[in-house]
Amino acid sequence: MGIIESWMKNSTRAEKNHSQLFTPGCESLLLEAVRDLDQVGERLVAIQLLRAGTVGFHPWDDGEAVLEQLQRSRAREAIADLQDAVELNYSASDAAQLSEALDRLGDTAGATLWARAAIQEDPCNPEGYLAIARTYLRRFRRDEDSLAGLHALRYLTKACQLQTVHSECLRSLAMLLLLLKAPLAAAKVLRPLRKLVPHDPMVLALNSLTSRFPAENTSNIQELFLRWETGTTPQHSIDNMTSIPCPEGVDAWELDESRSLVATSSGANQSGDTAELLSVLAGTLTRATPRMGLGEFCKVTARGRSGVLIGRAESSGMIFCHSSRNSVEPSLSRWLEGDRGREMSR
Amino acid sequence: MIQLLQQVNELPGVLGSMVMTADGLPVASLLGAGLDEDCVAAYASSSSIAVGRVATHCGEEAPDEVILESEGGTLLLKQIEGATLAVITHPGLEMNTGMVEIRSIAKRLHQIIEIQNK
Repeated sequence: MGIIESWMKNSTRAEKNHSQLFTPGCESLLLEAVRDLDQVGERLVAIQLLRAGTVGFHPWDDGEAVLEQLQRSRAREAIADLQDAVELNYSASDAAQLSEALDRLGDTAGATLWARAAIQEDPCNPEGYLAIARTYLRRFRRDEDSLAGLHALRYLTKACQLQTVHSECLRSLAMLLLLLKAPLAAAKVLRPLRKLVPHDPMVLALNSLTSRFPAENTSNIQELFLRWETGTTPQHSIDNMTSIPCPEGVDAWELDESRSLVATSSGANQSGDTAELLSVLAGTLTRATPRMGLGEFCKVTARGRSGVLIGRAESSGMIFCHSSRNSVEPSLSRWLEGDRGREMSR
Repeated sequence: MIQLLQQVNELPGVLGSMVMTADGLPVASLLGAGLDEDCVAAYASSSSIAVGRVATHCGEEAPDEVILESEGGTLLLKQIEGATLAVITHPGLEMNTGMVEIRSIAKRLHQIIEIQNK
């Protein structure tokens, strides 16, 4: 069997129940098992086991170092055959595998090029998106780079849309959710895999992590990212809400620096859903413009067919207002930029 | 598509433009120096999604145009069928006549995307 076939092959041995190796305190036992497997030529199984171990025992520097070494060796062995494969019989899957191998060898530019080539060759094949997503996911995990996390989410979502039950897509998505401290969402993503590949070491490791974290109280992925980035969770309390004097037909909401809803106009929706959506919007806008290279956020205007939403950054947080009449946009802007009876709302 | 982006970039005050999918993947871009297409697409898409959710929650349809003003520039997001045209301009620029032109180019981009999807 060629290297490519063995690369693509789902080893049946990996299906064996290795759960005892992931018990806390069994790191050296796992490393020993991995070395034994590698010595008998079962490098793929060894990598799969160790990859699961680095997730289960995270942070585990020794495990990460051995894994890196094994993955690089495997990529080095496979690279020539993978290059031949894309030249002889070009397919999206071949390009995606070459991308993955190049990434392992540290050639990020080459990896991105081939992953994009895979998407171009067959935009309906999830492999190209998955290859890019995995590169970003590694960077997110290793460097805690939020942009990499955001990219990983985008490409994983796309791959999962193209093939709803794709083991690698679901495993990667579950890992991303666990990194964002969302065990409930991760458990939901892992559910089909628990039926499909119950003894897969990575599924076992990820599954055990879902019970180690406290359950998240939001299903909004953007809110999860914001909490991960800022380390804070907004606290919305209707009891302490103050009132914003507001023109007729306009709803207004004010959020403080921690993205918590602190004031609304009379009649404006104060539900938990509204507070969370506005909070996510405030956090997203505040982070987006500096990261794009456009400096500090000042103002947002959203025009639809049936209304206008305007938001403005303030020294103490952010204020949003909404009207279902588009014609009031200029006066609403002026009102937001003015004093708008601030003393009365305090 | 690139030709239309070139036309956008020739408008006074425009620093760059790009087309991206609704989920934030770049399709075509002509951005100025210092602007990364992946980064702009990712954060512009996040912002657009967050704005859209609030607008929908307020009983509106998803906004057709979103304008983000910041200290270093303004980002205009114009929805096209299943995609978004993003235009970056100098900060504080009044885009009155420019907006008319951008809307017209967005319509032509819409037609291109429709043809490509057929």
